[in-house]
Amino acid sequence: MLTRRELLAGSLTALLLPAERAQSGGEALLALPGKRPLIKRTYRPPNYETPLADLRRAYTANDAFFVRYHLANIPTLDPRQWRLRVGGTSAARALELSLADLRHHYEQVTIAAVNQCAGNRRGLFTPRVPGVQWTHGAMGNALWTGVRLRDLLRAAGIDGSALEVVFDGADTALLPATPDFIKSLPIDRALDENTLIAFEMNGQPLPHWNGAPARLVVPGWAATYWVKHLTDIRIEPKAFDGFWMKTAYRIPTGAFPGVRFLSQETAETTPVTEIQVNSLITSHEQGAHLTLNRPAVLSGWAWDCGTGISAVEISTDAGQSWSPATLERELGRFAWRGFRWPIDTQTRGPVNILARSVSRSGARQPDKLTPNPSGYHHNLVQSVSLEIA
Amino acid sequence: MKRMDRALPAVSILVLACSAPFAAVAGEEAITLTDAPGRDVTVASCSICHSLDYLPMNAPVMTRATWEKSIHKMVDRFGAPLNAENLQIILDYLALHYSAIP
Repeated sequence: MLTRRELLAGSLTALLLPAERAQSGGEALLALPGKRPLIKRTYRPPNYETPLADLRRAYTANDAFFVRYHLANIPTLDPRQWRLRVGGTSAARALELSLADLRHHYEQVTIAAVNQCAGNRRGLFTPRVPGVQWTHGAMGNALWTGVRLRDLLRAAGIDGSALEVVFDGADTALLPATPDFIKSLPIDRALDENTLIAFEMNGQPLPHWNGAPARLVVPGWAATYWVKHLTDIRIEPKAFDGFWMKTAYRIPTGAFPGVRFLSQETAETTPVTEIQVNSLITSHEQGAHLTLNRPAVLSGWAWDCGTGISAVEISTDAGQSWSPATLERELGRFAWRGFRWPIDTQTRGPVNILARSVSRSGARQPDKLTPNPSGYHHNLVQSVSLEIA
Repeated sequence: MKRMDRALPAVSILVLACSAPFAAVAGEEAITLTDAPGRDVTVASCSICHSLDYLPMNAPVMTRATWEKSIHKMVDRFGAPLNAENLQIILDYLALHYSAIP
């Protein structure tokens, strides 16, 4: 019988999960209730990263999807008792909606979209920055089913003063003085037809650790806005001034491309908004060995904020020349798009493969990182070293 | 949810029925920090709000100066109940044992 202590120490993880342990670089793989073993970054609040091996499917499995919380008091909500309140200073009326109300009184829609933490790959920044040391797996792609946020906002009545819509979930801090996790969106993004209140993920009820019974889905925007365990939506005439908007999740103003969140912007800093163009090789781990003359295919995913991916380029000569990979069919403009490229295995020795994606807006992954104090928006061209023998 | 909203009926039912206790989660009790002066105060203070794996996770990135900033953030922004004496004990401990450059 294994004790948790032994499991934590990592000494026996290999016996339990030999393949996955190898693929995650030997980091501790631990399973939250209802999840398969993931890369544990922190226990409390729970922060768990999806191993590369679980990022190979077009839609990331619900039980493999990454888990990210700021606050440690995470109630398990009874979906029958759960209510979503919609109102606020700029709303004509207050609504209180059950899950059945959402399902039966509003049009249901499904959208494929990447859900990516703004700090995904923070652990790969040079120089390193403090925070949860994510590598590649604070992201996934899923089918999100729910109702349009704008339908709920219109039902509540939006008056001309509306500037932002504010979202609060049921998770709270352990100390009264700790700022609750509350986020806001500009009114135009809240009214975008793609912004949803989702209660299903890949055709199943949302997993507890991914926001059950309902969460915000903001396709193209960083996951910090995708508030989980949603309970309150307020239409407001003022910029929301909570810690998680005014202080956290901010980048130097003008440093990155992407839509600006003007009501929250200052001369120095601005909120993280849209996902940057990016890609991930999933077919091979760093340092993988290939057999001489045996056909091998490099593959992975490319995504951006929703303009869509127009090309993925591969280089095997340190970026001097690039050749196009084959793109798979689109799953939707907010989803990731598959790419593949045949690896030349006829020459013995090391090969270093670079992959970079290009969006329909013309944005291309950079070969230099834009430094920022909290390590957001890591989208450096990825490099994988393989050994052919 | 906002604390002021807890008086509302729908929410109070949820909170009463469903809130997890404020306690360590399975597994985290096995984390042991370096045995040295200051450890007990560090464990007692930091683990009020979060598991202790945050400390070794960030250690390779940290210096005394960044730990000082981080601890002040915990007090000023997150409301950690630390007096000046314990703040200094924790800072000395983390700077010495959980920093890339002590």
